[in-house]
Amino acid sequence: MGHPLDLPAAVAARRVRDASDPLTAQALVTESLRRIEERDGRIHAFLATSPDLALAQAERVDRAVREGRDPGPLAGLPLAVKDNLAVGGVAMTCGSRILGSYRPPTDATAVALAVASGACVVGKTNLDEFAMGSSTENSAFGPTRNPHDLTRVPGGSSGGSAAAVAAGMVPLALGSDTGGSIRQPAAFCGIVGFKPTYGSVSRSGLVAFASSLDQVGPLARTVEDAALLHDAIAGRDADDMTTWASCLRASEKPGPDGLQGLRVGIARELDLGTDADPAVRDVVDRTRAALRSAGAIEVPVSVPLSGTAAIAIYYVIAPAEASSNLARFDGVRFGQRVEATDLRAMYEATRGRGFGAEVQRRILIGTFVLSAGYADAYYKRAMGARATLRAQFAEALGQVDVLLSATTPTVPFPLGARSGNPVEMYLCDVLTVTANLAGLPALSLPGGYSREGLPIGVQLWAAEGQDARLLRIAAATERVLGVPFRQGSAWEVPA
Amino acid sequence: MSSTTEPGLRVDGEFVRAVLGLAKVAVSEARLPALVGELREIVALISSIPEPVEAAVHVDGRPGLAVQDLRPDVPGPTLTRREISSNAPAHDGAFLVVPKFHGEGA
Repeated sequence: MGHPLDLPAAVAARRVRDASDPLTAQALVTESLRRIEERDGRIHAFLATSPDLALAQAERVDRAVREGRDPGPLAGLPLAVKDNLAVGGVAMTCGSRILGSYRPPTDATAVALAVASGACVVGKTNLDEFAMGSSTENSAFGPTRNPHDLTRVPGGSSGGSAAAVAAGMVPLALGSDTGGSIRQPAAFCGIVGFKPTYGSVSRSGLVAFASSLDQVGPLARTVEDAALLHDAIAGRDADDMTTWASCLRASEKPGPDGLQGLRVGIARELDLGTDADPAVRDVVDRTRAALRSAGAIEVPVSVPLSGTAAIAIYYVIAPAEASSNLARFDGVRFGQRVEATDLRAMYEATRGRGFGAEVQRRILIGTFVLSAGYADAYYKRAMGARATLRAQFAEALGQVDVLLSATTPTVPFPLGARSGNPVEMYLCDVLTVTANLAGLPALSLPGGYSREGLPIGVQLWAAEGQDARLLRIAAATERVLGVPFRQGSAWEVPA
Repeated sequence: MSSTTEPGLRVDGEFVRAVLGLAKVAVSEARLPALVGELREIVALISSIPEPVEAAVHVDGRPGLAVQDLRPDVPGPTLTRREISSNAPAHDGAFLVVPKFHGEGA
């Protein structure tokens, strides 16, 4: 039998909470840190580890258990945190050089809630710079590699978090999703990634990329593990006025979880046909067959503005918001500063040297679409189209319980294959941006593997606020698909 | 060669320099040609958004959609003047007292 770190997260946490069980939080954290040391040299999922912090948190959990107090449902579980989420006192880079040696004063709300539930933060994970990217190749500190094949990308921008879970270094990770940045790397790494309804989880302490699209969410080996972390971090936060008042936690809204009679929508605009990799199409077809066998009913629906039209909408709105959010990185109050002869020159030099190429591109596009003379033609048009897209999704989801599609059009691609072509990289997100534009909950779970052993994910999404229901349906889908978690072990193969 | 997407829009070096100025980002002259090409392709992509449809976009009240719990639109109890004032920043004569920036000198 393997180490308890490989148990289902809820089982491991229950054992830690049980004073009569010898398993301790410190044992779980120590094993996680050992695996990071053993495996991450070739994967590069982590930008930094926080052993002192994690072991101190573990000791607090163990002390609570000894003293008869409940440390929480995540008791002792090692947690990796994407490096655009603040952990108090721990250096945060957002995958960029421009932040210098910045250390946030406090935890992000999602991190604080996870820690309050007993999780132990073992480190900060790699990401595309400021969460802008789909491969984790845009990190200023080098790419992360896919634990299933080190020559391929783990996806992005939460590639480090996904790789950390996939390689068995941690059972749980936090990521952020603005256009697919949790779901796409989850699909590429063979794990579960969940983007909750916009507003379900606080964004306080998440470095903003696009404030109307960003959402914090869990990455885990199974739907149950993802739901466990989601339930710990979801909820209203006074520090984020976009958070929901209603409870969206899976554990607090019991209901039927069978697939019999479930209406599964297949949107024709999200069925990429020959534009998708044949292996991806096969996995989606097998998923549809498995759901039908379990009694689900397929319903054809249409969301006309999804597909490539949504990409265009997204790449107006997201850069527009990013150009505004990243204006604060100007060398004045924090981070790197390049000295110059005057203030403007200092701004330009600092931002020119501190931001990577992709961030610069998005800032430029965002600045352009908001500029006088072009804002109506681009930004206003995109916002109108976004409202129409939301209405189209509401119409479609009024007819079905969930929508189903592939998560990505391709299997994980080789490192460097798309990094020289921005538009080709953007098209990776064609199946994921719509959930962010419409504020919907969406989840990727393992659907199968290609002949080369590369993971392929399938995506489910539900109506706004139906997070608990989506998690239950996803868990049932996971059971009928029968694709168990397969730990990525390419790091073991001699170079 | 420049491409035209919106009438009068030419995504060329002059355009990119102007946007760089607005964005307060400096790039080297050597980088500029490649950047022009990249932005030209991106602008072509984002120029394909269809005109918004004037269809109804009212999504609330439809079955199956969750909505936020709203309290009745009735004025409720509020804070006293003293409670509000207690949250005001401290001041030293004409100046607000600004807390020391965390990490300064660390």
